[in-house]
Amino acid sequence: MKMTGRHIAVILAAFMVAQPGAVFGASHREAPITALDRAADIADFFAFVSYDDPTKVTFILDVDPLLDASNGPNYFPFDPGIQYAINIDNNQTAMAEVSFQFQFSSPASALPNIYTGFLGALSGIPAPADSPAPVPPGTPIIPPAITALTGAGSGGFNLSQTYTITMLVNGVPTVLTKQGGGNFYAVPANVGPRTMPNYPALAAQGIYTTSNGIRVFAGTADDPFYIDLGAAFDTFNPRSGAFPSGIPGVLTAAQDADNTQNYAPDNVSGYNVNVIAIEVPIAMLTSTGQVEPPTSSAATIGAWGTTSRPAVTIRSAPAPVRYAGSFQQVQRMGNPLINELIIGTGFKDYWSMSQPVNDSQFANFDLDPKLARVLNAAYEALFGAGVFPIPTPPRTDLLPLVTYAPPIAATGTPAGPVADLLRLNTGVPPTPAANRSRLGLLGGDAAGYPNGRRISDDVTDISLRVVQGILADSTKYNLLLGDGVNVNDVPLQETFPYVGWAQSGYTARHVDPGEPGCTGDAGGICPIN
Amino acid sequence: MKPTFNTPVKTVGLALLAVLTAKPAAQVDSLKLRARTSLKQARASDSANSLADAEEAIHQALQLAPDDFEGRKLEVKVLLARRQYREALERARPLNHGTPDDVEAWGLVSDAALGLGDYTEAERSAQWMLNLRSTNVGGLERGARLRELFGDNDGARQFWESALRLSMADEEQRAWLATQLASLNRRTGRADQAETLLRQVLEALPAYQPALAEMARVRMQQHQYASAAAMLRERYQKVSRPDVQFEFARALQMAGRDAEAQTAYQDFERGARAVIDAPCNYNRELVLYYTDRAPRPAEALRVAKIEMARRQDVETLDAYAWALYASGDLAEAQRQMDKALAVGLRDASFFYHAGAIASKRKDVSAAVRYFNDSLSVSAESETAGAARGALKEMNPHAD
Repeated sequence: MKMTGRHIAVILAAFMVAQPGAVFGASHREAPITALDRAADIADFFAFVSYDDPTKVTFILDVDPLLDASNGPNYFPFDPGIQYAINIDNNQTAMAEVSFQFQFSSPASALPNIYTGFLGALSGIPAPADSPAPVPPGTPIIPPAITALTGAGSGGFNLSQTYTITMLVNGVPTVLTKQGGGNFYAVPANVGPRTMPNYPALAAQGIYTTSNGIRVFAGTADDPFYIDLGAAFDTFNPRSGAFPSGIPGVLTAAQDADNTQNYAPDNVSGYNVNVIAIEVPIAMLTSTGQVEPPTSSAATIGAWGTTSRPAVTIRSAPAPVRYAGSFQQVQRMGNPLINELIIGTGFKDYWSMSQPVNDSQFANFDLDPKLARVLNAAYEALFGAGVFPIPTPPRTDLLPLVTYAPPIAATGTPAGPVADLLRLNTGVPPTPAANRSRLGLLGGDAAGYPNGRRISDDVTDISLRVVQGILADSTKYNLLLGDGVNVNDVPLQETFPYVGWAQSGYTARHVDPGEPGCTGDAGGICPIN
Repeated sequence: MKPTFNTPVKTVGLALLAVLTAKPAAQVDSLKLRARTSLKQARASDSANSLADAEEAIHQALQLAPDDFEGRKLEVKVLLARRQYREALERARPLNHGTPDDVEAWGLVSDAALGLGDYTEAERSAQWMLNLRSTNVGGLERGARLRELFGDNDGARQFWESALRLSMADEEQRAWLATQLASLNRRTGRADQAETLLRQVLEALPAYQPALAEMARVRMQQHQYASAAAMLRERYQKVSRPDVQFEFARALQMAGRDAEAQTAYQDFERGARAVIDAPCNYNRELVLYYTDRAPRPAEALRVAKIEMARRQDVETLDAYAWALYASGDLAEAQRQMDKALAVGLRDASFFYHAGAIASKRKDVSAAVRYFNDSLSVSAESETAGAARGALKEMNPHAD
């Protein structure tokens, strides 16, 4: 993904702390249950005013992270046993007034005797002249290259998956239909150029408009998150060679302003993720039913994604034939990195399964985040006393991030309960690409995180700074913290669904330390240490 | 000046600390292993000595490492085994609140709440176990107990069967689960299925006391009283507890060996009375003894009240209601019986007691309904004959 934007202004930086969990790369396998249930693992959640239409909001829910692009033959179907949902609070209750629920079919096999989910080449290849009996020469063997999700050109699309979308408004469900009728197809992985010679064209066919004017996309795409994950979880051990400042993890001003290249390895590079994207008219989201100016208390919404599985309950459903049983939430995500970096390991599943409206029970994690203490201890042990000051708990500087409050929400907006929601002022117009900052609000870019979250926002760096205390005192607690990864490995799109198309299984590679891929280093080689 | 990680003195200090703490840590691990083993042995053999050994081991472990999480959980398990439910709950709650992702800690809270009769908390905790992991054996086990309590015997059976299928632990755990399923089968009129399961258990673990106890109950239900008595005599030689003696006496009585039964009952009474005020007591059996066998209604009521002050689970409520019935306080008897039945349990003896109370209150329609309920749960329960007799008495012309 590419990013523009720069600088470090200050104002609010991030929400990672305020809610449950936020510091690094969103949340890949961060809780014990989701570590074992990767299909239900929410990697990232984004919400932003559409770049090309300020009357709409785009939500993106990334699940099942770190998918190796070449991992055939089944690649990456969505789990039919999971209910994926995007939830919106529009009246400061921290409960969903509007929800979109996605459920996927079991992958259907059109060619049950074929060994792989996707097979195709050229215009189809028949059995050759010396084909052994009983298959006579000329018998179709390899279908034509896959160029369509359905109909002509989809003959080799062996494992296809469709999905349904249910929109709930104040609990009343409406099943959304596709304009013109037909199925919503999930976009498959990018198998490679022989099988899918024009993957972007194929993937674009998976963008649908519903009969009520909502656009949707579901399928495998490039994982837009970028982070030096190895350094992050090695007790925060940034690679010394990547930081000319002399202090690993502290960027120089030039590095900080650079939205175009990386100084440390991006451990998510080359990986795909399953994406559910939905673009909704703002008028369908606000409590007033219209686009609100940014100064309106009705302009700000709170959003979060969830994955749920059918629950096994002690009490039986009263009428199991008429009503589906209840679902048990497996995971949720509002702000990035809350569960991953703030919530204690003995609470992560409990947090995942709890409702945002009850988040006050986790406030202690926010008020004295252990990550801040780890950084404080580690840096001062290695680089001397006073190098890494942090505010004295209780860290009330972090609490405004989990309520409806300025500078995201308009002055006068009811704060609502403490809850990990990704809050977005829908009245703030999108920032043009040339002016966008990877540091979002910290970079003076009003349309960036934590006012919603765009896929280009560098939530790792923002979160580190927020955890250090930039919101408490932007002078005292303002090291230019960063992991040295400032940009995604592939360009993002400027239009819906915004993510980069899935990386090719044939050509994708992971940029590791010691390999080319870090253009800021000598010879473009990523540093090993 | 703050020390840094690079300070050699600190490095040496840390190394020394590691050496000094290594031995106690190994001791703690060893003691916890001993406690776990002894707890398992206590369940398998009904051995008081094994339970005492578990208690001693965990006591020593916690002296060395007072905050050891696993140690604290083992401590709660010992308390549960000793039926000290209130103390167990008091110790389990902080463990659960401190580490809510720990499935087992939820189970400990559920067990303690179940023992006290707080089924709301027991269900909430057990449901969390299933939410955390829908296929975890501990969650299914608690869920099965609660389903039965709530009247869903088929659902309980499904959970026990699932737990048995999913169990990847040792043979003892599978034996335990199979025995619980067998017990449910017996209590719901499926004595043959119960026997089949118990045979499997005893083939694998011939001395497994929970299965031997259950097999004796199956024999009682099959009206093989002499066989039951023989089994219980043997069991009592290994597990000389008043509740075993009570069952033995009952089998002797049913076998028509009244003199032996009388002696056994008297032995039981002596043993049970000695621990009336202890948490691990035999007060329910004592109440039934003083109501059904050696009528002393006032004493039955006194004992029942002692137990009611300690716990209000459905069995204690039932015993209390039965003591009130025997004492002639029919209105209160019905009130307590209603409380027990409101939980939902469909148990043959409970329904029989409810029917008898209703009958004495001249509420014939309720009595008929309860007696029929009792027979529908199990036509071969120990109270089935009495239920049939009562129905016949109320409607002599009925089949």
